[in-house]
Amino acid sequence: MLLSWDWLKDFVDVKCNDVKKFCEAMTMSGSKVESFEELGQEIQNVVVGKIIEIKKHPDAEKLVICTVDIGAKESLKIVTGATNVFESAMVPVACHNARLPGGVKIKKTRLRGVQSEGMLCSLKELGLQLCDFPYAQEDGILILKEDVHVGEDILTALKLKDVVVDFEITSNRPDCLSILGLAREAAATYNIALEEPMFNVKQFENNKEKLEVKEVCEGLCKRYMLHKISDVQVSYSPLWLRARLKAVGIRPVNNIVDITNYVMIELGQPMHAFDADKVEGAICVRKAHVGEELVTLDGVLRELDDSMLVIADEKKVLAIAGVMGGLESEITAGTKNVIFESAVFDGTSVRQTAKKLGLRSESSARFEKGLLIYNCPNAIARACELIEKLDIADPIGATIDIVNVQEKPNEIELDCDEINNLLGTTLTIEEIANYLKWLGFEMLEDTVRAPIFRTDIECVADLAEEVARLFGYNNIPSVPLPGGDIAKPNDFENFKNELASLAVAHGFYETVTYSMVSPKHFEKLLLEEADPLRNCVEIKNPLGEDKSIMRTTTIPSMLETLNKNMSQKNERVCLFDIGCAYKKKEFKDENGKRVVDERPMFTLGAYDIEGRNIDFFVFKGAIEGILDKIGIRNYTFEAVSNLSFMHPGRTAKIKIDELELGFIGQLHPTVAKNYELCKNVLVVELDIKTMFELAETKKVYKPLPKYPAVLRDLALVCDKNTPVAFIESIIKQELKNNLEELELFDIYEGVQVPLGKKSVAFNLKLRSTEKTLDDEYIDKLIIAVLKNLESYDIILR
Amino acid sequence: MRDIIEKIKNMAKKEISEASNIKVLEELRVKYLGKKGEITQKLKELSAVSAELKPMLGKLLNDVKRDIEELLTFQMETVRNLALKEELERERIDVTIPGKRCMIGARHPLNATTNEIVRIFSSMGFSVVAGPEIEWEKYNFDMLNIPKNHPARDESDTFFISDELALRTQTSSVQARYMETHKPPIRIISPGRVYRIDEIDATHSPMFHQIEGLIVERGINMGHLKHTLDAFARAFYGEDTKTRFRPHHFQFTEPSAEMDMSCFNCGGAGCRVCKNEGWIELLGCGMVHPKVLEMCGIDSNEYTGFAFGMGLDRAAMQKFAINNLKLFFENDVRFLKQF
Repeated sequence: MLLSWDWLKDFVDVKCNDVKKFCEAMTMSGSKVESFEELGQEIQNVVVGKIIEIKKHPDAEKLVICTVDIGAKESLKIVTGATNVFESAMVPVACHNARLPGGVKIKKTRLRGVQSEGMLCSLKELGLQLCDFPYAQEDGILILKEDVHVGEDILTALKLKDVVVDFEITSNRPDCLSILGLAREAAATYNIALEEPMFNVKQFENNKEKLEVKEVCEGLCKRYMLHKISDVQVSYSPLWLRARLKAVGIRPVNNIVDITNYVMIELGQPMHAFDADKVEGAICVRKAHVGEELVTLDGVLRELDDSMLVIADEKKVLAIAGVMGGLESEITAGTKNVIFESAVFDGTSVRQTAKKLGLRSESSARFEKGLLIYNCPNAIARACELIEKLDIADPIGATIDIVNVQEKPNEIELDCDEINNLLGTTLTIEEIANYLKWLGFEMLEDTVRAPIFRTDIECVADLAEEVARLFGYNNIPSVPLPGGDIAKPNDFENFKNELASLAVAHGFYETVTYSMVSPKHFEKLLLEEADPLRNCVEIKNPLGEDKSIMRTTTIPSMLETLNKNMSQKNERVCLFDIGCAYKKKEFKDENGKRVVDERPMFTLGAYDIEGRNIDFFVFKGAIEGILDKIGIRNYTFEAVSNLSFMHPGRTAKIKIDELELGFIGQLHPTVAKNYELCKNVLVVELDIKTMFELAETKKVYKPLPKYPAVLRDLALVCDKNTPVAFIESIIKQELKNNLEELELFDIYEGVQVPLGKKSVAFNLKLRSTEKTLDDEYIDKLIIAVLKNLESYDIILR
Repeated sequence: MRDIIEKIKNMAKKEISEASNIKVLEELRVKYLGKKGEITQKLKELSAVSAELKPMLGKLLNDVKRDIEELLTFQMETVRNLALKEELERERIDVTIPGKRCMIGARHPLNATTNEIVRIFSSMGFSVVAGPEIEWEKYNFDMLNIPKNHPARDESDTFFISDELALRTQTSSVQARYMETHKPPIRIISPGRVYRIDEIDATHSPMFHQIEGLIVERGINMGHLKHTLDAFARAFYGEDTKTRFRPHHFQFTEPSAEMDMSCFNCGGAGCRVCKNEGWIELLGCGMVHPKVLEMCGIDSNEYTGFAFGMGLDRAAMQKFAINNLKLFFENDVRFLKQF
């Protein structure tokens, strides 16, 4: 909301010359200032001059020499090429050393041998547009028709000097979307008197012209007022009015339209003006019919639908209620009779219509916030006042006023203790009452009555805020919190953090990726039609296909991230991510049927373009290290070849008994190609909740061994397809507690072993908790192991 | 005999002091002091010496024996030191050759920031709770006093899954959820992902992060709110940080405020970062609206509280002087390695 300082002074005399201080004061009392601008700063040393004499330039046919009286002792000789100058014309004169918008400097200069002591200015040179001075000739010197005096500073003469402050108005204060509303806030901030406008409604009484409203959609129109004015003289508005509109960012059009805009900005009540002679029959406020169309004021043909509220006559649609008028019934130079409209339409309806049409206006922005009906007659009255003041017509005319709702000011019990308790203050009842009075509240016996326009005041907490903002938030004493319980540890969140720390310790960098992905990933991951991962939660109103579903696996996010890194030529990348996969699953929670199970996933991904430093086993080692440290024991890796996006021979499920934690493996080469990745891409996806449930985080000390350990090597030959894990399980099973560590140190296939066989070699560390193991005993154990292995065709090498 | 002893002594001294390795010295010990060593021999011969010479020769022999022992020890030490010195010299390396690094990763700056903020509030007794990202409208809006046709509920701002389920637009949803099932005293914080319909650019993203705080106890007032959040700002941005509270509006708090902090770039003097204001908007806060308390089944006459919410992405951007939000979600490892 833009506030003109000049306009503000109609209502309140803020004795503050420092705009910055004013902005600060307003911000701290609750009207946040976004920025402010001092208009006219760019123009210096430009005055009003009167052309006394025009002579031909001796050496240039297209130039003339003007003698210009600028109210100084000596008049100026100014050379110009403009053709619209004439003797006695009042013109803007940029004197020697003048400054103009755009950083232009004017100096005395010689033009074709003749000294020119300044410059006569055009609209453009003063940074103005034709709409600001509609009578001006766009490419000529600005010939002033205003009531100006010779020698007067152009900034004052053309009302170019003002300060414009931009306020951020919160949604609870639509009343502040007006000069009057902000003036009220300024008055309260400085505790000074407000010049409340008086609205004279005498002109409503006479019904000399016929005006008919047939139907008003009750649900979407709270009040509908029309007022007809006859025999108007449409022209441009006076300078002061144009200047104010320009300052607050509204383009002057003509006196009638300008009045509607002026009233809207001043009082916050949008108005519309129809050309009465274009209205055929009775007016109604109704929903549009499907297929109806309207060319709006901006010349665009709008297709309407039956959710939109329109103003129509018996033949056609005249305007889209609260949004924009129609071109056909607009006020033009030829308009003779005018109908002013001042109404309150349903805010939500206006908002939705404006959004559908992509047509937000100053008017719709105000309707959206929810207007009050008390202001409708005020707006008509103010418009009539201006009609009279601007001498446009006799404001007396027919009025129609249809009221569909009742409004009354809110009354709240004044509980000073509660206010003080909420704020942590010790204000007296008088102080509290004073602050409220500054804001226009009325003190009743035990209650306070809020001003009619303060519908946001509903309870004591609301009063507390009013008091606090005038008392000053920063004057409220700061108090440390009273002692409380210690923060309860959140085990699951801690677990996730611990996982992250371990991944970091293993050289992985954490990523944060979008939860929404493209359904195209399903194809890229080679998922079959029936794959459960395709069963996803869809967003009803996505930004685009790109982010239209909730991911059912974190793998595509990881692959995209890896792809981005590869396209940046990062050679070797190890990443991890802790974020959810969103599984579609119907289940009931306490509030009804839910459809999504949010599963936090621990995802790792890595590639190495050269393929030297990262392979399946480096990756597996990292996961094993992490699982061990996080307290997950007895997990197994089970080869799987049914994950469509994974290498069928290089992927394993990680399981504890029959429970699946997730999988690890190398990406399927086709999928790698689909994501424009190199071949050597490794990924892991583990379900964190399952991990959390299975992790043994409690640590109990085991006594250090008393007896020495014995080391043995075991080199075995077996079928080349025998899994190492199988051999390990037999060794473990046989040696039981005597086996402290079992470590694979070599696998060999080649000439030294028969074809189709491989050699597998282990280091065994044996130790007993009860005695020192002697060789004889160990030999016996080993023989038992070998015997067991032999039954599976695994023999000592 | 005396001369012989002297001779042995001189010979020993000479040989020992010329010896340059441990092995030679050991041999010399045997030669002179061993069972059949020269001094040992002479000591044995003492029994044949006359009684008057015995004490003198005995003393002399013992002195010589002691001298040789001392000399041997000394020389051994010298030789060892020399050998050690040589060894150390041999082992000299170029310490300016780069070290062999152990690979270590890093947390994402956003999560590092979140953790730091969580730590600060934890120290003030706030427990971490989490809530779902796909949320009932009831918790995201209704119970936060955001009525059905409030603009904040518009389809153009919120991603909807179904008529009643949406991607939460604020972590404030956790407030309602928690209060509904827990009785005061309540002190919680809840960081997490939130979603709003916004195209991705340098300062916007359809997914971003917030942290919500809530305290509901007997006797909590705005003074507590101010102190807590001011203490947080000083802990997070530095002890010199100043804060100010401005009136604002949120549906679920009353009175409501926004907290600004003195610009971290210019310290409040005014610069490009703070648009010459000297202040930077940091978070929204306020006293929990009595309607919200009542909707959650908490007696607003008995309990009061305050709530706050701040954007984590912006906090992290400020913390690390990151000028583009996109960097967080691109996860270029050259970016991630900086934290």
